[in-house]
Amino acid sequence: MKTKAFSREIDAFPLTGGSRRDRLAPFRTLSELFGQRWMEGAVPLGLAVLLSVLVTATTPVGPGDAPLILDEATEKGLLAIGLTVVLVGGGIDLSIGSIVGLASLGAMVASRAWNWPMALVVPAAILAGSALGAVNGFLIARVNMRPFITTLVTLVAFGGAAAALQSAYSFQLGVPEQDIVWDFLGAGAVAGVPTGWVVFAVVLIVVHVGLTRSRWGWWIAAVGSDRRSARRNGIPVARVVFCTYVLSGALAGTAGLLTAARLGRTDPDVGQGWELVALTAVVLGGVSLKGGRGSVLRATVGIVVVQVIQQGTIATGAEGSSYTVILAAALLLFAVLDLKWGKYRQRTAEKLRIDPGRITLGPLVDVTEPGTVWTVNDRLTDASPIGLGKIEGAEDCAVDREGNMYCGDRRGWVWRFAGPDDTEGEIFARTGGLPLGHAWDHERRLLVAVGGMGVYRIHADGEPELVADKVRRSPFSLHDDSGLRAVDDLDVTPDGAIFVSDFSTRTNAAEYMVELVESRPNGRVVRVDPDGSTEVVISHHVFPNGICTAHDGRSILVASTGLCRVDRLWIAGPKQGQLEPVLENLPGHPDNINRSSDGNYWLPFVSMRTPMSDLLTKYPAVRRRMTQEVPLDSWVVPQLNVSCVMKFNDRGEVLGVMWDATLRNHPMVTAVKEHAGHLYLCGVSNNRVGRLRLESDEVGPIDPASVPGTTTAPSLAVVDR
Amino acid sequence: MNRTLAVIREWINPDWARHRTVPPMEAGLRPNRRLDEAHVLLPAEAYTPDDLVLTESGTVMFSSEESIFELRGDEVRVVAALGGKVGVLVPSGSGVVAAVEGVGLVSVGASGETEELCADRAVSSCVTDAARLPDGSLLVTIGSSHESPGGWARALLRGDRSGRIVRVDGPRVRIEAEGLGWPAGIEVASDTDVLVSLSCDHRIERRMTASLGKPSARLAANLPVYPGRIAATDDGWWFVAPYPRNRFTELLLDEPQLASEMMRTIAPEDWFVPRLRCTTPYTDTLQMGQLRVLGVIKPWAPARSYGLAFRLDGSGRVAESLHSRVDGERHGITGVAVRGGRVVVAAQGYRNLLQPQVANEKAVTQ
Repeated sequence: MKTKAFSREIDAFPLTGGSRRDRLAPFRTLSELFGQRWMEGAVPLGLAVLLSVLVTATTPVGPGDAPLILDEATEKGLLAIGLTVVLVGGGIDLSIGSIVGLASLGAMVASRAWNWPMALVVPAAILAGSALGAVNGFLIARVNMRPFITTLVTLVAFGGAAAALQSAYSFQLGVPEQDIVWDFLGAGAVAGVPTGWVVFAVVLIVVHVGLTRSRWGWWIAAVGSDRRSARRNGIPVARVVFCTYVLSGALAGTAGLLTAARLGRTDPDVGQGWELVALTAVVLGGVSLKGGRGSVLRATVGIVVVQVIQQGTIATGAEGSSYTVILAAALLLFAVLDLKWGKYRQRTAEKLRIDPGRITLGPLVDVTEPGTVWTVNDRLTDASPIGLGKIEGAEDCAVDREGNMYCGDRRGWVWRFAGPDDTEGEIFARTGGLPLGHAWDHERRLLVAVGGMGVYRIHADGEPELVADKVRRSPFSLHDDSGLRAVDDLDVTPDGAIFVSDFSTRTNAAEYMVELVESRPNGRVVRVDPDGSTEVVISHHVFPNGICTAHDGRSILVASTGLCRVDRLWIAGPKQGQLEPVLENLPGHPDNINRSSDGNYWLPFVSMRTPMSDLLTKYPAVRRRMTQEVPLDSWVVPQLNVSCVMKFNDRGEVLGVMWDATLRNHPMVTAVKEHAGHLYLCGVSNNRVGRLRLESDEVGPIDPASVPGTTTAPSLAVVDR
Repeated sequence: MNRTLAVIREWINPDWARHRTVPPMEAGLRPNRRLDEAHVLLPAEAYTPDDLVLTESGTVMFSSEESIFELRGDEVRVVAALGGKVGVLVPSGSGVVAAVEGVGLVSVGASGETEELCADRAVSSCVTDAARLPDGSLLVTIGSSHESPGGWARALLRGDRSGRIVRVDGPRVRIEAEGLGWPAGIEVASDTDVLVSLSCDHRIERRMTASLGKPSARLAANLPVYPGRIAATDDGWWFVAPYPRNRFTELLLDEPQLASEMMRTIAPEDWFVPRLRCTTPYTDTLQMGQLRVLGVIKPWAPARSYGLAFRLDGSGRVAESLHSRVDGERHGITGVAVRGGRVVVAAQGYRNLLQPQVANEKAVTQ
């Protein structure tokens, strides 16, 4: 068992200045709940169970009625199971009531009139049911008739056949015949459990496992969800549909046999109206009438509820017809619920997905005021462009010792520009995703944080290798946060670990504007061990973005774009595992941090705060309305079109600020890398990388590309600070 | 509570939802670059023209800050300095009648002699437009009884409805209509009626001269802009639109608490309302669509300032329009003058006079 490098993850939520209540995002929780697949059946099912509780509470129905209810439930439950399978396959089977009647009558006739041995009657009844189901299946799957009209017709036809059979053999049927098998089926028990219940339980388990765990079951669900897609994926649609009706018929035949055995007599009324009971039960159980979704377990709960209602009407002494009325009303209500709930569940989940939170920022520095360290200037304007018009959105870059520049591209590429004068460049690697932060590891291999995919190492031949793309899912979370989807910046520490920021567990890397508007602590910082294992070291951080190992290698700096601050996470020494502030209340939203050659740090701002954007952080409800009612293009965000790069030191002092006052060449600088007296300016939505010559007094002896604490980097003592 | 109810209603049936919307610029308002391609008549950034008139001799008289200037050929000369911000100009013989903030209506001759026409309190502040009726009297629109002409944004945010139409006949003044949402333009449509553009209602109305208190017909409603001054031409009327409507501003107007805190705590130039020009990006917030992507700001991004003048024909249909979009800078058109097929607009935001090519000026030679 490996010990974790950090005893516990740091919860960065207090940095937002919010109260405990601000931790909760009720709308989003609702959205996540609605987004769960199991919610589809859970709501109708919950209501159905509530209904049965209501019935037991208001009528004399009690635990004493349980055997009776279960007896009825097993026979009709078999029908419900068959009907569920048909519904999941996208069809409907109304003829099951008649099949029950015909099978039960047929079994009686075979046994009493034709004197067949029971060993033959039992399988014959089931086979007869299957054969009747096969008639449905043939008409629907082969002749392509509509399931509804087909099974309606066969309902009448099979019912007529049963009546004919009854009148032909009515005399012989009246003679009771003793047989051990009949008794066993009707009144026997297996280990104290009535036979019918056992049969039902076995069928239930088999069908449930088949439907949820077998290829056959998945095929049925696939056909029910979308026939055309199923066919195009090579599923034999006709055969699957045919099978569902055969199964439904076989189960109806079994139900008929059990009914005949239990009652010991039969008449043409047996099975009449059972299709309605079964249909009500499955709809109550949350099986979708549109096909593709449903479970036999839920249908079973549905049939029990229906039987409780029936028992309730009997117990209160109401007329038999009122039961039908209640049943029909319940069916109607739940069919409407199925339609509306199915329709609105996803829509509601989608609408509530973005749930903006409140954060508190300090007073805003006025950068337009002349004479301050922040005052707007033109230092960045004349940076010479690299790859102008070729690069699309290089969020970060890395420069090797030979001066080759590697940068990302929003099309999922990593470019290489050989030396400073190469304007053509070549595609060095194809990572896919959205390549964002770049860094060098100990062996001078390129590490890239690929948004949407994870952390990749790129070998000298341009072959990308996955380093890490997941962490342990946090417990008790409805939302699956195990994937590293929005990895943004990364850096390597002296012990070879990679620290990477994952700015959101919810939104994709390309949707960073959602994070800017939502302002919730959705992000985290993850440590990737040299052995490839991952752990979250800072959780609940608002848009953690820039990651940079400090010059002494004992801490890493973490920039929070959402909170306009930079914090230091100690990874060695007495304060290991502690987070302490370095810069607070910055006038902009900081992005990637990188070391400078003179022992300080470069920090660009992805956007600058404005009075209006600051005001909006106090109004989460307005931002929610904005995300719902106003198109993305009209969302109000901080000023992203200005570029500002700042240099600061370990003590958190702002040493200098550079701007591009024209706003044309380098709007929105997201990363700066220093190499050989030049500064490389990257922008995630720009079509170039800028190369700016630094003044000689701004350049020091440190190689910012080396991992601090490794032999290639001169120690800090050499640098005169 | 009402909002919660509205949300529930919308959840039940999306058709029941009612939101303030901004219609797209389509049909006659389909964007073009005709203002960006127009002739520039003044030296750059030298004046802030608010309104203008074209005289018979072809000279342009325009108001800028506290003076009236005359443009003859390429030469600009001061006609008169009037000691208050000069707004609307109405032709009067060879000279003009000017509305001077804090003073009233002043008659200015072609050679610069001034004469005070009316200094009544009713017309001394926030005069937005004026039109001369056939009987010689002036109809004057007052944007708001509480604000100065620069207070348009505050009036919009406060839902100010204290705009008026005032009839000025020599020294006599009569308030003809009250309770209007910033009437920003008025022009004679026929012997018996006038057109009024109501800025805050995004609407253009026809009103009878005899009963100005109520509209007789609606010429255009729910415009995607806040309409302004009007100039009559042979085949309809030219309108200017100083401000475009913005979908977030519409949302802001529906969130009174945020709007009032914004007015209380933020400098007016940083309010999220439409304006004549966007000057300081460093304090200006951005809308996502205005992001510069791969070096380009898309012209169809949501606009905070916009350049637009359009001509309505007699039936209220937009016959043609002149645009300067988000990627342009010839924004904030506040005045328009037409004579003999020549159209000149005053771009207060761009701080210049523009003479675009228009459909009905082909016969005119420079």
